[in-house]
Amino acid sequence: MSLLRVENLMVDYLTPEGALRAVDGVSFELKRGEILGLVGESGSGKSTAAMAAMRILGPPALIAGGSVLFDGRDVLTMSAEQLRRWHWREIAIVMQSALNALNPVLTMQEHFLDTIAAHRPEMSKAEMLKRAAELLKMVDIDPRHLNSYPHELSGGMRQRVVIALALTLNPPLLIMDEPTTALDVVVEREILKRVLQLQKELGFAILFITHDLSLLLEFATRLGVLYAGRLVAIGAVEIFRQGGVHPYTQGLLQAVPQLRGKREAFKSIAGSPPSLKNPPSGCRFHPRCPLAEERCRKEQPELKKTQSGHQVACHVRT
Amino acid sequence: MNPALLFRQMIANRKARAGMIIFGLFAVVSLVGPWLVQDPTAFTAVPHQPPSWDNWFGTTGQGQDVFAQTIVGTRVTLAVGCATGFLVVLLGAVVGGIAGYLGGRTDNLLSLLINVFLVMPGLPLMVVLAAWLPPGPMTILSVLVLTGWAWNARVLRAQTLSLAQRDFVLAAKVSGESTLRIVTAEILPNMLSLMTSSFIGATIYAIGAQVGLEFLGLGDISKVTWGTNLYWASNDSALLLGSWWTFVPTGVCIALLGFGLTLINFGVDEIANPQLATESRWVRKLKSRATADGSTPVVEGGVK
Amino acid sequence: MNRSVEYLLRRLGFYALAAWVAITLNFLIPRMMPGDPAQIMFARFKGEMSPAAIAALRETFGITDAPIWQQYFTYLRHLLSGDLGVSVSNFPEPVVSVIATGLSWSIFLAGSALIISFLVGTSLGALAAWRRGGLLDSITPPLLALLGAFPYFWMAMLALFIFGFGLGWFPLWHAYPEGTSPGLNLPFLLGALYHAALPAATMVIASLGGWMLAMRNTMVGILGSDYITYARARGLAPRRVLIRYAARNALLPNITGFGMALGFVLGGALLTEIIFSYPGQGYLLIQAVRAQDYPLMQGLFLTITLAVLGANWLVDIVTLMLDPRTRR
Repeated sequence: MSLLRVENLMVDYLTPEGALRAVDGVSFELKRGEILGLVGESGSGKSTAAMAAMRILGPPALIAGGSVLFDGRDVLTMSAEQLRRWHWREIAIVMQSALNALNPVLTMQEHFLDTIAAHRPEMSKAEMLKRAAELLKMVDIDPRHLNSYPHELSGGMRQRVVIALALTLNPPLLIMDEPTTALDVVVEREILKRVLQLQKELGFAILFITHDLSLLLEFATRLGVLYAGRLVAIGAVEIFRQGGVHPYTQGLLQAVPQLRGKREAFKSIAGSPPSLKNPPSGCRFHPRCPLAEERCRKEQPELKKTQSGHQVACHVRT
Repeated sequence: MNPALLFRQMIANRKARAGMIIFGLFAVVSLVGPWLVQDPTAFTAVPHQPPSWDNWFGTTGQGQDVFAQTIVGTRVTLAVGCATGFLVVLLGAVVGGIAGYLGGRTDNLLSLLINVFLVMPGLPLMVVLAAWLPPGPMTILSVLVLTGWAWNARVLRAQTLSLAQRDFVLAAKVSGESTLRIVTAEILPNMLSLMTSSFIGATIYAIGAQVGLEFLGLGDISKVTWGTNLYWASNDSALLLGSWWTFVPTGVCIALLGFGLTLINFGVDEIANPQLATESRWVRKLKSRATADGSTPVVEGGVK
Repeated sequence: MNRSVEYLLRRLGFYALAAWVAITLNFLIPRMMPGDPAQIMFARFKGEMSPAAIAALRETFGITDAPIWQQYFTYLRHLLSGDLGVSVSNFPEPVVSVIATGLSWSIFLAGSALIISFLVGTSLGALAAWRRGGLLDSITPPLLALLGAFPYFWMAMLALFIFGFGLGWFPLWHAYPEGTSPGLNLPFLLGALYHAALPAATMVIASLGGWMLAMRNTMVGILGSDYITYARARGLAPRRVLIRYAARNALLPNITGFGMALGFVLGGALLTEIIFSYPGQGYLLIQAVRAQDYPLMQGLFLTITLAVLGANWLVDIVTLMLDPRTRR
């Protein structure tokens, strides 16, 4: 059975001009121990979908339809207390900017204590501190930094702390929302290496959100591609490594510069992502798609299986 | 952002519109009112009479018509209030703007000046100054501006500072635009809503402070203003004799005017910060479902 | 913590500078006014004052025939030794002792009103922002804004009229009942509370809206922050998020406002004191102005200014303690 099962999720933002649909019927599932990558450009709805699934998306957003099942339980009908118990014990999130996620007037220690005390109030303070030090060591941070304030740590250190916080209660699912986007590549590499090691040791599943497709190719089990609020491709990572099927995926992969081989001009996808206020008719990608046909302008494609479990939403490719 | 656009937005906004109507009413009264009522300084009836058909708001301790006094008093009070508001924002924009834009030593010096004035206790200083200078609206105006400009200067300086670092200003600098043009064409238009709300805030403060000073007898007590009306009411032992009508209408007018101006400011806030309006809309539509625990609400089918 | 000390000392330096400006202004203003203050007083008292008294007054004022620089330094010297001169309207009581009584009453009245207003207003504001759209959030802000639009001295007049003169529930003037003697005795203390009740109540009602709105607006801004979302995502109890994450951070900018208001408290709630004939700093100032008691006026203005500066410095210290970011 899947750990997380999102079906036809729809998320709206209430703007002064009316409701804007940021996520339009997205479905995916995640099994225990799996690493599912969600990739897309800014505004594609990937963070929105994940945070909505966790029900932590703030105003002016609301969930307009679909279902979210965690371990068979219906998340969308959970009460406030049920959500509180579910949060962090079974599903945790690592947010993009650790500096913004941490309370500027509290030390790292107080963050840990708050988190642990909210779920394990029976633990003594000494035990909680021990656990906090243990967690920091797991992410290669010296425990004496427990006394630091967020602004006193470097970006990389803060991100590690936030990862340690996420693992406090050993949740089976970790959502990582662009965790390394704000860091330089060297730090990014180190942190990811550590996370993957921890993933092997502790066995948690990861929903990894990023705009960097090439990164996911290295460690994801499965990948999903979002465009303008819709899932256009989803499947095992192997197909993506071979170049992908959907024209958008292919465009993304071709845009990654090659280190080896002969010199080539940069390839990019012409045009820019559509505004969600007035999305294109039919397939949302059609204005930028080199394979667009008449049908693409009129009818919105649904996800259909192509080969070996890979699904694509494209008239031309299916 | 230009003044015409801001004005249109203000009319469209519910709160600002309501406030402008209230202010408009008072403005009309201040302009036309004095011609439509009897002489407020004339001894017209028996003193200390409660409201009646002859004297709608009753009479003062000196037999004058309270209604006439209230209407006529609107003019000077409103005029001094608005003039103070305007001057305070002007002074604040000039000093704060120069400090924020030029930075460096100029900023340090001007900031010091602003801070020194900020820390000066307003009301005591006003009382002492008003006591030394000849009584009258001009004195009140100068005293109010002197003690009130620093607050706006600080606010406007902060905004100028943040705008001056923005990319479009740097681009203008690099492309050779003159300082004057940058300030008037790039920076000021972006501060329009802030200056509007500053002006309104300053006017509210000015009206209150003015009335306070005049109540203390530091204004020209021979002139008819809301403040002097209260001064005379107190002087003629209104409380002791129970003539509540000599001071209640004035207070209510001040409150209404102040409230109206505050409403305009609420509206301008919403215009300047659209997120406020967005969130209030969300709160209104999802009121029953917006939980205190902050989880994303689920509304099957969405909301229009 | 060395940087914090440095920061506080720098702020102290600024306040010292501002104090110097105030002191110098205090020295210059009477001398810039037409006429010699001492002569004005002589004319006023016309023979009621002995020449010796007038000479003493001029001396206190530092108005001698010496050049102005010398007068200035004499003035400063007197200041530093705590000599603010002698009050004309309370002759021969020294200014310092007149001010001392006024100060204690002002602190008691305006201080307690401010604290109550701040605590209640801020809590209401935090709750209103937390339960946006709720009853508290929809009704109280416009209601309190309307109440706050009334001039607070006018509210004092109304309150005195209804509850004092009208219903007779509260005393009409002064700080303590006649017949009781100031000191740590119960009749005096209870009487003082009774006399402060009405003026304090009007001040609280007039200013409650301001604190509530300020806190509510700061809170609303903060509730949209990522660290609030993150705190909730970690499964923290709502009460904890409200207090430790939201209100705690929202309080910081409002503490600055509180500090500034505290400074003005020491200037006395001038107008309220007048209406209730409450013998605080503000009441004394107006009496001094009306009696043209320049030494007292000058002394009062000086103490008020110094008190404001002192309060501001205190706020700097408190902000430093509460916000670790200022320590960098």
